[in-house]
Amino acid sequence: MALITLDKISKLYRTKEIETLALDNVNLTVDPGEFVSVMGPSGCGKSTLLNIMGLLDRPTEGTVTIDGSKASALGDRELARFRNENLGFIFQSFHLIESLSVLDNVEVPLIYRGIGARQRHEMAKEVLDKVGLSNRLKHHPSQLSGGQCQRVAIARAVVGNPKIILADEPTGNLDSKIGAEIMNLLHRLNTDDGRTIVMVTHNELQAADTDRVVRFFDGRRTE
Amino acid sequence: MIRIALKNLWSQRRVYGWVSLELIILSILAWVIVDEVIVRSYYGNQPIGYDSDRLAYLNITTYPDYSPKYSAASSDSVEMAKDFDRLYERISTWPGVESATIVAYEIESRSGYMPHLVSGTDTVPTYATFYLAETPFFSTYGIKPVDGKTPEELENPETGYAGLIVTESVMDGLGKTPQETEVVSIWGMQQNIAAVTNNVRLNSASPQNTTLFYPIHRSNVGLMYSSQINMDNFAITIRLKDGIDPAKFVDENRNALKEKLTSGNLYMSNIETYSQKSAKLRYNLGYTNSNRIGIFLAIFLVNMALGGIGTVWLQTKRRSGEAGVMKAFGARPSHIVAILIWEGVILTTITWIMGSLIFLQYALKSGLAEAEYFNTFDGVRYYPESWVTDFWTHFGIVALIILALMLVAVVIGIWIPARRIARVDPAVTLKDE
Repeated sequence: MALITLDKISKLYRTKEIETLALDNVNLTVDPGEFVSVMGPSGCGKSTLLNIMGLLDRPTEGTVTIDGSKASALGDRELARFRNENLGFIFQSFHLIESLSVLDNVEVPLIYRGIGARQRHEMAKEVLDKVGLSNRLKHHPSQLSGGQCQRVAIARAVVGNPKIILADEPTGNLDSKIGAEIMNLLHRLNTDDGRTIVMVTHNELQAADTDRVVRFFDGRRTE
Repeated sequence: MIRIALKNLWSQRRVYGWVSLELIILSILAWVIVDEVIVRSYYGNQPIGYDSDRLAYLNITTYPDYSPKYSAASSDSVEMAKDFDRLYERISTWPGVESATIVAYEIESRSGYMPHLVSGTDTVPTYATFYLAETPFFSTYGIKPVDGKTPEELENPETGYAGLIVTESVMDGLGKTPQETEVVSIWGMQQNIAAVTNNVRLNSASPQNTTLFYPIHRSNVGLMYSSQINMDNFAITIRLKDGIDPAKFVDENRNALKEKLTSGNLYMSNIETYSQKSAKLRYNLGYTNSNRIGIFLAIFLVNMALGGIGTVWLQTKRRSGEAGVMKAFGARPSHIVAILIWEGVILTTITWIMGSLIFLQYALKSGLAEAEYFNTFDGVRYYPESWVTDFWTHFGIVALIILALMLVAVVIGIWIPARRIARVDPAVTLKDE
């Protein structure tokens, strides 16, 4: 049974003057433990697809089913809990909270799960150790390099032990060497921990290393 | 959540430094305005202690010796007392008049006579109102004794003016209950306190205070007229009959009264209703102008508050990306709003403490609002006591009200934009530029 099912997903953005069809009748399934790359030119709807898959945005039409739960049936409260327990996000520009330290940033998903401070610290330290940042706990994002920031973002994405990791161009802002390190980390998460990963990328080599590549053009799936 | 709010504030201390400065200034300014407004409102809402609805005041004046109407024969104090009696008789029987009394330094008068009452080691400064003992002073004003007596009983020669009559606040100042009436020293003479009345306000611009009703007997009234008390301070206060509109009565009778109320060197120079007298008094005391200044200051304060709201509003709107991240990782909209509001509450509380401490330095030297009442009698305590007269209680109450006002302003400034950014889909706020 598929872990993620997108069924006839369309997304229409409307402003006063323009209507843009970002996704047009897209169907996609992702199996548990799969590492899927989503590719396509800029503006083809990759990030929109990832946002809808991550329940950060709602489709205009169609249904999203994750681990048997229909997203449209979830209210705000359930949606928040579902994201917290099942999804981890990695963004191209990291989206770390500047005012918080590395440790605090990683603890964010755990706070909303209601986990006590001591346990949060332990869990956050453990994943930061895995990504090689145990010596940067008290640093703030502005004191870290791009690669370190992305590792913090990965630690934040996995600390709550979600089944699915959604990565939107995770190496887009990094040089090739650091990008390769980040990809290694993601592969380890996929192979060692069995996490399902859906990654948007422009990099053919990185995509070729994943289980499957899904291609988009003008809001439609082409492959 | 509070920990995160504190961390956010600390890490953004440069940005919040300016907001804090604005809030500290707002806090100090609020102290200057709000303290005055609260105290004045409190005093303004105190009962005046008598029935002012149908009162009117007749000013009695003497012709100066260069006036063609001046009579040297009538300038004698005994003659003057007889003239006063004649005026009194005429106004007492005037159509529409229920009762009348002769007073000096009457209630709602600007001027005051302030003897000290001394009992043992206790000294109580009082505002004295002198009245002709044989006239119905208490029933005309509607001032009630506290021991169950009627105003008329206070006017009875056997029970009433067997001594001084004072308000409860005087007894409070002497450390006695209203029942513990005793002999006190006034102007070096021993006098008996005969009765105690409810507290009254000297005038509508003042709070309740320690008031002494000093009866003047017909036997020595002439002496009082001409010596200890200036003639210009005597007046006749009348109570109109039920159903008569005082303003209409004054308008319709002014000329007739001016014509009829003259005897010897005395004549009625003016008549006015309680509300007319009260309005004039407030104007003369500068309350009208200070009210206008207060309105300008209040507008300035509101502007400052709006500025503060605008600043925190913009600061909150700036946090939409952060809100998106929080939502992506499981925060509910209520979590986001709560964190942002906690930040505001903490920042407001800190700046309120700082602003209040700064104002405290000034207040310790110059007093809080209406501080003149503490110092009127060179440090002699003012009665009746209330939260206003107790420095730290006064400071605490006003400080809490200011905190509440600041919190309302800041929470509004945060809550509205916070709700908006917390409701937006994270995809919108996280969209890369």
